[in-house]
Amino acid sequence: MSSMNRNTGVTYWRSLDELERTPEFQEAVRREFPDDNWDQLPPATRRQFLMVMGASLAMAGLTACRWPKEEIVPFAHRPEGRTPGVPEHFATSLELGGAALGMLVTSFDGRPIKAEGNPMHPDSLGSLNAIAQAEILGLYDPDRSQRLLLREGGQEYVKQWSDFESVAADVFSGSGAGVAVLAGSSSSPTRAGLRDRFLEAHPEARWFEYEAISRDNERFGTAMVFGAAHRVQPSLATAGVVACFDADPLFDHPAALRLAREFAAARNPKTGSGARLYVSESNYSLTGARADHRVAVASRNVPQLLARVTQQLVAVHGLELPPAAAGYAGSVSQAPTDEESRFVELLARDLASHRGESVILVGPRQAPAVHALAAILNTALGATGSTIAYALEPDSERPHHMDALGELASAIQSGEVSTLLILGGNPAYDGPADLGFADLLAKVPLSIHLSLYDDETSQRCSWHLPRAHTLESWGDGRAWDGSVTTRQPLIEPLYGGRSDLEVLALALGGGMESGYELVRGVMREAAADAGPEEFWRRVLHDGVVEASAWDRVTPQARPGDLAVAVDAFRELLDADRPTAERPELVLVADPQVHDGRFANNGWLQELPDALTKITWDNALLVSPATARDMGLSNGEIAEVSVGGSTIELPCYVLPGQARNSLTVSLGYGRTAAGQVGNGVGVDAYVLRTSSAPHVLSSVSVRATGRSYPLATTQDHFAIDTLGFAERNVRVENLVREASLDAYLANPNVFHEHEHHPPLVSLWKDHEYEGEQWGMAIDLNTCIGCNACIVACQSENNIPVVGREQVLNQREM
Amino acid sequence: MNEDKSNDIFIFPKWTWVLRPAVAVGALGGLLYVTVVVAFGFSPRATDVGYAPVQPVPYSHALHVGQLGVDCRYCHTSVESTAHASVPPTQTCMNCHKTVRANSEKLIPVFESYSTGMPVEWIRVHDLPDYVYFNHSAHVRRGVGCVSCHGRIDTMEVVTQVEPLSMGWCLECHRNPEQHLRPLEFVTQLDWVPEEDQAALGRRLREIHNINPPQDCNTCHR
Repeated sequence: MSSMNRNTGVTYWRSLDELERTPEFQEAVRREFPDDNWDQLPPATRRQFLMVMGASLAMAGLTACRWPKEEIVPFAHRPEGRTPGVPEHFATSLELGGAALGMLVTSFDGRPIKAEGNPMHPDSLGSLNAIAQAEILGLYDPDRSQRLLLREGGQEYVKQWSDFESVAADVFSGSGAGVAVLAGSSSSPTRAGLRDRFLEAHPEARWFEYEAISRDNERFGTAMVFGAAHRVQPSLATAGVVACFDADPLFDHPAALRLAREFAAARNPKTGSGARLYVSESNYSLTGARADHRVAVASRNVPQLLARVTQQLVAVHGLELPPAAAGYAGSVSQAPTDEESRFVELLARDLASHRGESVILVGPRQAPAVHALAAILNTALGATGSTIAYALEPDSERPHHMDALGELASAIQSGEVSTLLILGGNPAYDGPADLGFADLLAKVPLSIHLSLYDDETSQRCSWHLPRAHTLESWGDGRAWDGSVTTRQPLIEPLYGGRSDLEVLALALGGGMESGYELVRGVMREAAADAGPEEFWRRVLHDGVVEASAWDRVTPQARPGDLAVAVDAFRELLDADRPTAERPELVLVADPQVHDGRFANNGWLQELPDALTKITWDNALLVSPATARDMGLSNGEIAEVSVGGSTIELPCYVLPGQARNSLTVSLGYGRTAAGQVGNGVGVDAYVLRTSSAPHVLSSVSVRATGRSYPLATTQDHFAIDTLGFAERNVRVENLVREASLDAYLANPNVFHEHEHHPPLVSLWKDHEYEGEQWGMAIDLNTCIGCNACIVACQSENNIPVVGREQVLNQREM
Repeated sequence: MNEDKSNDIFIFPKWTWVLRPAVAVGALGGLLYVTVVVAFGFSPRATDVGYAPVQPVPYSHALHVGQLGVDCRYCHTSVESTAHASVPPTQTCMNCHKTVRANSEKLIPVFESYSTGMPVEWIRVHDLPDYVYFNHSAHVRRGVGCVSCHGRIDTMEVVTQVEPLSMGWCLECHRNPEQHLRPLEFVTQLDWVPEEDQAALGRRLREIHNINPPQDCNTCHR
């Protein structure tokens, strides 16, 4: 009993306003229906009344006494195994950032209606994240482009695929001089094959790959110490200690679903391995929200923290590093805060006592040198093989995404590119501002953009080709661990779009090869023992090729490389701490719209961010102390300037944000996303440069004095002050907490704390017969990824209400 | 006798004595009449029963089912397994008509559909509102004969709706299923009559198969 928290003032609160009971908050709570400001309703004029009633009266005309005739339209040839009205499930996949996520999509009468995870896929294991759930809405988006467009001489012409085919035959012939292809990151074996054939057929053509949110730092980090780029595959199933440095493995990782599942299993009090979570980060990630120990540090000071941990491990706990890596354990000149010291001490002690069961993970925003150090430490801690595994990265020669776009930009600048084929992506919007890609496109005589929407890039290109959606196209990809994943369409392209494979095949001069033929050809070649047709059918059914993950390797650090890596790392230690006058700005991928490609998806726009609960906008996240120092208040518009570029956006005070480190989500402020996404939020890409794509220094922030109401659901349906106080008195019964030791000692510790004996009912209770259904959410495993919200919206057709109605507390 | 003639204006003619009550009766009666007429006029009994639309192909159930003896389930294949009875695809027609009456004029839409792949657009006869869920298999597998709801299709040249299919009508059977239960082997035999009393048979079948038709709103209004 003594281990239960007594009412020592434990208060559960959702926002600082609620905690402080500010007058504005109290006012908002008092108004039960915030929109019922009867004095301010627009007056209903007679004209409006007649308009509205006139419409109803017109519809009241009795056209027929029986309702309109309905038709039954059966197949002429019904496909085998197809029964009308019975849903079927097909295995397909979605590729984001170069890793394929397996899905099982329900098709009702030939139309996909719901996406679920594919239990056979290693990264999905039956689950999906919010973005994959929302892809269904993206398929049916009426704002998707429905026609080919040719923009020439200031005019727009609607074209057909046959027109493009003849142009392509012309342009993509010969040696490919002046031809460049810009594509997004993809692990598709079919696309890789087509690319190789393309470059072989057109030796002078150039291929560039760019992804706005890139994980290349990790690749280059491993290349730094291991000599070749490796794929880092963490596994938390047997982890006892997990240390994250600006990393978010439970959510912002291609294998996040698997990692979250493993983490949940590890946290089982009886059977799990523990997975004590230490997180240091600048913004508030979902992993940070689940952390057992968290310290908020500016992103550019994370290397110092890791260096201190290394120092502690080597000096105090006797961790052995390779001799060439001894420089890692050198001293750090910057003085730590008390919080940081304590964090470092605890973490080092825990890592040292959990060798073989611990893992250090570094996030994609940290420089490669930090990843290199993590790799060395993991090896030293014996994590390789248990909590971390490595495989050789395919396509290891590929340059860093940022460098690739930079190369293309300079090629365009020097007039070397006469034809540019852009397969997907939106570089005019999400390219770094210093490259000015949007304007560079004007320099290319013939630019072609294959895209789902007629977006910012398409509007600056000569040709816009409508792209087939993920759920409409054949394709393949590889999961994070390399398992070959297939993609099959659930429906014929609604708007006559083509996939990137088909357009690439077109550019190869093979005519209109269908995606089906291309993918099937590649799969059949890969068939090992079984007959190719049987293999193909089996693979289509499963969605995944069995045992096709890359072989695991045990990389060795090379002394020569280590010395260079150490130097690169130690340079990072010179970074000073940000101040209120010169804070740090971190640009992060938005958890909802990612890099902006999902900006037109209403479900994702209205999805409240896990911690800030903001819908429909992005905000400048700032900690309370920093807000005080900078003179910013919640909702006030701040002007943020970096190196000559300025944006203005509202700020949101988020407790837990690192001191003097501000965070902004990318992916907003779009101008050509569609009716839903246009004008939502502020475009932070203008602040991004190729040298500093995520962590920006020399930032200046100025309060403007204007404010903007952010549609956040944080304080919705809050309770009044008396209720709040009473709730805090009763909270130990409402939210029963006990330490793990107390629980293991006595599993009934939660039940024992009763504050009254069982109640006797005054009347006869209702008898419940038969089965009952309830929904329980295990809050020990919930990480707040919000996939359940989008899944419910998808399954139950829950409408999107828009920003104004969310402000009126009418969110669904 | 009234001495003051000026009050004569207040003496109404005799015929007005009945006017006021007559108007009252007329108004109320009229209201009642209109209500009844409209209610009846809009009820499924008036609007749906007898609906016999002209179909694109003059398919005669009387010929195929009645005369030739084709079982309902040969074409309506999913009636025992899913909610929809499903109108057959053109393929099913062509199973026979590839050779039988292969030159018939009446079958031209069918041949066209088969060769072009475009469907034959039948007009739906038995139509329930969209807010209602009806599951064929739940009824067919439990012994409700096709004839109970669809009537003697095997005598119809053109399919006609004979039952109102209104909620009240459905509930009648749900409340008293004994009237419509039959042994499972006779479900598609439209002219079958029980040898014994239907009520007794129905009671027995109900007990054997444990038939409890639900009467909750959400059974159909899902």
